[in-house]
Formats: sequence, C-alpha cells, structure tokens
Amino acid sequence: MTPLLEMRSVSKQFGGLSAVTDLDIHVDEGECLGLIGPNGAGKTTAFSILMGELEPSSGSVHFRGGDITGLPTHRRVQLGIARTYQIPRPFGDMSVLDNVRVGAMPDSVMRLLIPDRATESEWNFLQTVGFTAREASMLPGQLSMGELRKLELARNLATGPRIMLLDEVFAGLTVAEIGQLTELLLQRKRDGMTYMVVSHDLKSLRPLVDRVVAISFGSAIAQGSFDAVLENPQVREAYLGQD
Amino acid sequence: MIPYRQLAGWAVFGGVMCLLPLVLPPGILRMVIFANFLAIFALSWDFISGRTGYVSFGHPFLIAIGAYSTAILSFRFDWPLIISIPSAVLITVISGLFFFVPALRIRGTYFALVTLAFMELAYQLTQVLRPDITGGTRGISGITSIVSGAVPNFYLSFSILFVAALLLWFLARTRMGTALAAVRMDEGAVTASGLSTIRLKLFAFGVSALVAGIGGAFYVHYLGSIAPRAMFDINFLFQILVAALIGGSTTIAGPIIGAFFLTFLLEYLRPFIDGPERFLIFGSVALIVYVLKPNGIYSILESGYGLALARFRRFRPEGGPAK
Amino acid sequence: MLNLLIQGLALSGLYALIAVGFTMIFSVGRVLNLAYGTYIMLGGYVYFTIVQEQGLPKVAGFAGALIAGGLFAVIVYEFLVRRLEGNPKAVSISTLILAVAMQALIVLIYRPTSKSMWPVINGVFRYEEIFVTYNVIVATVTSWVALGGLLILVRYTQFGRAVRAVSMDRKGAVISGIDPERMNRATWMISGALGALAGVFFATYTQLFPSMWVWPLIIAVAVVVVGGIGSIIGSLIVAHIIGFMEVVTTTYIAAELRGVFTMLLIIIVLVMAPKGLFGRGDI
Ligand SMILES: Nc1ncnc2c1ncn2[C@@H]1O[C@H](COP(=O)(O)OP(=O)(O)O)[C@@H](O)[C@H]1O
Ligand SMILES: [Mg+2]
Repeated sequence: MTPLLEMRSVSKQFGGLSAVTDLDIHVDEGECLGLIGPNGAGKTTAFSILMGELEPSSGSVHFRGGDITGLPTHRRVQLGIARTYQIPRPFGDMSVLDNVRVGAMPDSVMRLLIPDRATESEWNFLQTVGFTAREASMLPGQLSMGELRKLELARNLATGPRIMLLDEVFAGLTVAEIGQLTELLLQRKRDGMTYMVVSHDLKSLRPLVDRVVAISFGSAIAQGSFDAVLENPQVREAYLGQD
Repeated sequence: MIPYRQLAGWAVFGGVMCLLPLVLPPGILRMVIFANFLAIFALSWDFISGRTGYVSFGHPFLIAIGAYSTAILSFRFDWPLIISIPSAVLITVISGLFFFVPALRIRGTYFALVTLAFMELAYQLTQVLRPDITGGTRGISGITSIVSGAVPNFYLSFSILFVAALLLWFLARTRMGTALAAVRMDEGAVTASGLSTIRLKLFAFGVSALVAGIGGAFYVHYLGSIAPRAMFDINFLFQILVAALIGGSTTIAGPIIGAFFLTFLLEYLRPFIDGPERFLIFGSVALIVYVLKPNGIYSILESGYGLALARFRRFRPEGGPAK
Repeated sequence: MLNLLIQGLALSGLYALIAVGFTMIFSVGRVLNLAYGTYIMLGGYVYFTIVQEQGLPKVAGFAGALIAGGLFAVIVYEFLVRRLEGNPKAVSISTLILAVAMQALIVLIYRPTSKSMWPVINGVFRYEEIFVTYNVIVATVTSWVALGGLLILVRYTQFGRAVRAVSMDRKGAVISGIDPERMNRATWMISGALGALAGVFFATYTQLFPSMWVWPLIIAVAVVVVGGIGSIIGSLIVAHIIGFMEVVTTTYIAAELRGVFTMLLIIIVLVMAPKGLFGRGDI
C-alpha cells in the first residue's frame, strides 16, 4: 500500500546547523502517527517541509505516491494536508468565526466575490470543536491557549483535510481540554482521518497513536508501537540526556 | 441580511453631496472637487496599504501613470478622451501589477521603500526620457477638459468618488475583503488555509491601481496640466497618506472623511499661512491623531455614535435592533 | 581620471557618514527612521544660521548643528517612535509624516528659496593636474574620523557592548542590568548628531533647500538595504558603489540621471536579494 504522506531521505540545513538529517517518515491512510523527540529534534521542521513552508535541502515529499516536493503550500492544503502550529497563529483582528471561515474559503477570486455571510457548514466546524455562539464572536486575544488550539483545529477542519499534522497539540491545555480533544480526534479518526501528532505529553499521546517515530538530532532513532519505542534505550537516553 | 443602515448612510451621503452646488459658492466647490479626488486617491491607497498591509509610498507613481497616459494620448496623439481615458486606466492596472512584483518577495517596510524608490525613479526618468512626449520637467499643459465650470466638474468628480467608494465598500463586504484582511494579519496562516496569497495580493493591487488610474486620468483632465514635480512628490504622497490615516484606515468612510477634513483644514489655514508651510500644522495634527487615535476620526465618530445610541437605548430599553 | 577617483572617494566618504547614523538606529531597534533625512537638513540650516547669518565662529556652528540634531533625534524617539514600538509600519509612516512637517517648518522659517552655503574652508588644493577644494578634503577627513570613532565606540567600549547586547537580545540585556531605554536614547542622540554633522558638509555640496532631506534619506536607505543590515563593512562598500556610480554617471552620461542607478540598485537588490549583498539580516 502506498503511504498517504511520506518524506524520503529529507535533510534540512539552516546555515551550518543540520535540523533534519536523512529522515524518512511515512503515514498510511487512516493511521495516527506520533512524532516524539526532545526539543530541537527537528519535529516542527519536518512538518514545515511536509507542508512546503520550508524547502528541503535534499530529499522529497510524496502524497499518495505522487511527488509534491516543489508544490506550494496552499496547493498542498487543497490536496488535503493541513497543519496546526506549535504557537497558534490566529488572525488577530478577526472573530473566531471569521478565522475559521478563512479556512473554508475557495481559492478562486471569482468565488470569493460574494457577500460575506457565514454558512451553516462554517458554523458546524466551530461547533465540532466545541465553540459556543458567544465565543464565535470573540477575538483571538480573548481566548485561552486551549481555545486557540481548538480554533486552529477548526480552521484546519474547514479546509477539508485528509491528513492533519498537529504540532504540540496538548501544550498549554487543561486536563479536561486534553480529554475533550482526544475524544474529538479519535472520533474523526473513526471517520477516516489520518494524523501526524507531535507532543511532549507522552501520556496524552498514548491513547491516540497507532505507531510512533522517535527523532533525535534530526534523525529517526526508533519506530514501532508506542510502548516499544519508549522501551528503546536510545530513546530513553535522548530524553534523559535532555532533561 | 441587507445592511439597511449602511445603505441609508450611502444614500444620505450621496443626497447631501448632490445638493452642495445649490448652497456653496464656486470657490468652495472647487475645494470640494479637490477633496473628491483626494478621497479617491486615499481610498485607493488604503485598499492595499490599510486592508492588505502592504504600505505603498509610491502611490503618486500609479496616479501619475494614469494621468500621464491619458494626457499624452489625448494631447500628443489626439486620441478622443473616450478612448484615451480607458486606455490610461488599463495601462495603470498593468503597471500596477508590475509595480507590485516586489510584494511577491518582500513585505512590510521594505516594500514601502521599494515603492518610494520607484516613485523617485519615475520622477527622474520622466524628466530625461523622451521629453518631447512627456514634456520633460515642464510637463504638459493645455490638456482637454471633459466638462467646464465648477458645478459640472463637481458632479463628475463626485460620481467617480461615489462609484469607487461603493465598489470598494462592496469588495470589503465580500469574502474577498475578509481574505485580504487575513493577508494583513498573517500571510503564512492564509497560505496554510489553502489560499494563494499571490492571487489575493495581485487582485488587491489590481483594484487599487484601477481606482488610482481612474482618479489620476480624470484628475489631469480637470487640472488641464501636469508636471513631474507636482505628481511624483512626497507632499502629494503625504496628503494621500494623511487623509487615509486621519480619517481612519481600513474603512471606506475614513479616507473620505480624512480627505474632506484635510482639504478644508488647509483652506481655512490659508488666511494665516498660505504656502506649503501649512503642512506643518497639518502634519502635526496628523501625528497627534495617529499616535493618540490610530484608527482616526472615523473611530471617534463611531464611538460618539455608539455613546449616543447607548443613551438613546437607555431611555427605550426595548428599542434597537437585536444583535 | 585621478580627479574622478578623488571626487568619488570624497562623495563616498560623505555618503558613508550619512548612512551610518541611519544604520545604527536600524540595527539596534530594527526601526526604519524616515525622519533621518531631516537631521541632515537640520544640521545644514543650523550651521548656516549660526555661521552665515549670525557671523559666529565655525566651531559654534558645528556645535549647534550637532546639538540640534542629537536633541531632535531624542525627541523623535521619546514622543513618536517609543509610543509606536512594535509596529514598524506605523513607525515608518509617522516618521515620513514628521519629515514632511519638518520640511514645512523650514519653509516657514527660511522661505522656500534655496540658500547658498559657503564652503567650510575656502581654497583649492592644487598639485599638477589635481584640483581638490579644501572643503572636500575636510569633509572626507571628517567623515572618516567620525566613522572610525564610531567603530571604536561600538566595538571597544562598554557602551558599545551594551548597545550590541540590546540589539541582539533585548531581554537578555535587561537581565544583565542594561537599561535598554537609556541605550536607545543614547543611540538616537548619536545618530542625530552624526546626521547633522553629515548635513553640514552635504549642504556645502548641494546648497540648502527645504526638500534637501529626501536624497540623503534615499542614500541612507540604499546603503543599509543593499549593504545588508548591521554589516558595517557592507555599508562602507555600498557607500562607495553608490558614490562612484554617481560621479561616473555625472561625468560620462548625464547629471540628471545621477540618482537613477542608485534607485535601480535599491529596487533590484531588494527584490532579488532581500537580505542585502553582504547582509545577514532578517526581513
Ligand atoms: N528558521 C530557522 N532558522 C534557523 N534554525 C532553525 C529554524 N527553525 C528551526 N531551527 C533549528 O532547527 C532545529 C530543529 O528545530 P525544530 O524543528 O523547531 O525542533 P522541534 O520542533 O523538534 O523542537 C533547532 O535546533 C532549531 O533551533
Ligand atoms: Mg517544535
């Protein structure tokens, strides 16, 4: 089976620094892949390369087997790849609802030239992640970190993704919010959504993932089931060496 | 959901303006004509600089392209205005797209600087390249006017302003308006929402250039003459900027209010100081307003209106439209 | 030919001096101060008033110009730039508005007509075919002395280390006990004084007129942008590229096209290599 999304022997240098070295990652349709590794391991960089926000120094990216290495980011989103950011990036002067609606907009000048009115489906994206009508008119500045992450998730869902890359999804969330989010993600997964999830919160990651890849200094050092990877002595050392 | 209140605002604005020639003497009417043109330019500027966040310091360049094109076509080549003006507008839109090519690579202050350099470049080039066509440093005078007299010119300039403002108002209320505002806030996040920022920006630049071109073309036929120093001028840029900022950026009413405020302020300063030194007072007012009230007069009026409305509602608690 | 070389070197030295004050502000606070050209104008007019109108000694003229430039720069920082901190677009728009307002002030005081500025030192140095006015020699030497002094100040003094610390990592600097506000004020003051100093000599080249601030501002912008942010050597090289380009164009092509190549250089470099030719800066 061809993987849904895949990076093949990707390297990325920032000046002299090698952020990612000869990294292979793939995720199959319907799978949830966890990406773990200490700070600075290159997880966020890997996401940015998959999205086309960073150009790899070498290597290639494939979607359903097709090479998309040179494809601009918005075209990848249209193919069905979406990501959230480690530090959420809402549109600051726009209501929560409008933020989400930007995700739902068609990429065509003609089809954008219609009066700006929220549709039922746009409201649904908000409700799916648990926003109330009152919260919909708030500005991002008034939201907590948990709500900002929900906002990004809703904006992602509005783009109609096949696969979502979630960067540090649980960071800054309360225990209750983590529970709700896990529930939401699992439900979407049953509907066929594919994920790549980065998280430092291993306990919360565990019920979500089918398979885990551990990265250290830009290279994969172990992969397999969650428990197997955490048992791996190299992984333990990478984490312990850091903390 | 039709925005009745705003449509009513437009109707009142149009109605009052149409009655002006009945009450104003021609001298003051000429000021209003200038204010109309300034408002068009400020709206054009604000559409990219305010809404999209690509601050243009070279807007006079675009306006001048429109003005020079129709001036040259009609004066040197005897084209009828009905062809020369649309051609000039088309030329402006095309140059606008080139003018904004840098925006595909750079943003923020750097973009502003490139546009400023463009304007200075154009200023120097018009003086030396083909002065037989552009009229060199002295420019061109004796350009055909479309209508004559203050009243017809007032109606002409106001119609252009009214149509341009309505067009931009409509655009701001479409999904496109929201998308362009998103470009200002975080371009990366717009891309990550699946939209091509290049296409959005080109659209915004095209619209801004369109309005600038129309304004510039009609303006030159109203003035009857054109010279490089009057066009590619920092003082001209200054008036456009200040009109938009003082009035209230990213709104439609703001730049119009700003242009009128500015024109009349300058005019009423004339008895006291009559040269370019008026810009001193005017620049100081602009800076104070900008630092204290970054959203301009419009926001002051709006909060005043909000207060009045709140007081009104206190007397009639059940009144007012439901939110 | 030799004359051309000397002219080029002299003009380039002056341009480097014009640019350096602008670069300082830019590399410390990432602020594009479009009112920078007015320091230059202010320097020229203040010197003119003191020396030519009041007949006071030239030293007093220079002192007045430097003080006026430095003071004005600090005022701009305190009342405008600091209040708009964190909003670079607002800073560039408002400093541009300020510059035009200052131009109006000059018109109000000195009338719009241009004023002729005497050379700082009269006379011409002559050796075989070489003609150089003493004014050019003084201007060039002053430029290099000022530049050297600044380099020493930034590289080798406590103050310089503190300024560099603030420019690299503001929070870190605060933690190590540096008051970034004081550093900023000091940098703005030095920038204003340098601009005014350059302005005195610039005015002896171009005369005094109310819109004289535009061209030096463009030079400063070009040097910073083309040279790359915070690269002193880059700035020096670009000042020379621009200076020589201008002298060569004036001599061999046409005086009116003087600025065209500089403008083209800005546009091309900003579009092709936004980090500048020698730069390491970020956009
Ligand atoms: N834009 C950038 N420029 C230079 N270095 C970067 C950039 N982005 C990331 N890095 C460096 O690359 C390495 C990997 O970073 P990142 O992918 O963010 O790690 P992670 O997400 O695993 O914590 C780090 O050393 C980081 O400092
Ligand atoms: Mg990360």
